[in-house]
Amino acid sequence: MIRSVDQAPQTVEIVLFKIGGVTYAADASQVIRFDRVALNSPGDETVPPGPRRGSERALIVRGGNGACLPISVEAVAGLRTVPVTSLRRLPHVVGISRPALGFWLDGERPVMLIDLLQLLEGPEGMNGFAIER
Amino acid sequence: MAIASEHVLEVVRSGPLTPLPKVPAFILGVCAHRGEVLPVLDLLRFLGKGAVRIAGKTRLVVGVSGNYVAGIVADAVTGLRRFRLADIHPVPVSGSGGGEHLLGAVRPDPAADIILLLDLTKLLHSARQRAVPR
Repeated sequence: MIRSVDQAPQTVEIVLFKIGGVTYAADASQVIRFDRVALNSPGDETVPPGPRRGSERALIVRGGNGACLPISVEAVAGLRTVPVTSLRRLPHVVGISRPALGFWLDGERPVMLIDLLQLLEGPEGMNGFAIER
Repeated sequence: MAIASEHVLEVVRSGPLTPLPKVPAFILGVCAHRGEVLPVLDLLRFLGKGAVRIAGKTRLVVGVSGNYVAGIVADAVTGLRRFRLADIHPVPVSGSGGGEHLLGAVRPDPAADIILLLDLTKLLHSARQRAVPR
């Protein structure tokens, strides 16, 4: 007799946001809610914000100690449910370390996936994701 | 410049690039290529000889060496050529000239420009070493 087995989820929900004009993505389950950045409010200094540009939003993430922490971003571009088959690992030649996880292929456009919890542990916060050319 | 054809998967037009944070400037970004993510390298920046300009004839030479695959930006791709091994001459290794990433040089005929043969395996491994955060 063939028994049904639990299968791994075929889709994952991601949140899209912008830093320095570049779109990034993260596992939506890491985000409790979106909010406006409460600049200069107590606790904000724990996560350095990204580059200031236009109206700002924050991804509210629960840190390892249970505290809710805001991660400032330029804009939140929305939620998407995407097939896991559209996710890709980091290429071998590119040595980006965590919090980069890999990429989501949005058609012909790779979007970098970021582990927000790892980001909280880093000293740079989103400042490390400001691309200067 | 030239790359041994055994290391070239194909030549494609450059698609939209996604820039990357925390990488050296010679990694211009990544693009989608046949359902995978392809890092795109600027050889001029890598060798410290300037920077490429993306234009209409710009192509990506998709190079491979073992697990390493990357797109190398080329102003244009002029075709396939066959050289005799005896015609390939060594190039002097210098600290800044990128000589360590060359297999040799060949001059097809006395009136032609010298063609530099890239050591793609060494180049991709060096790129990886420079890209990985220490």
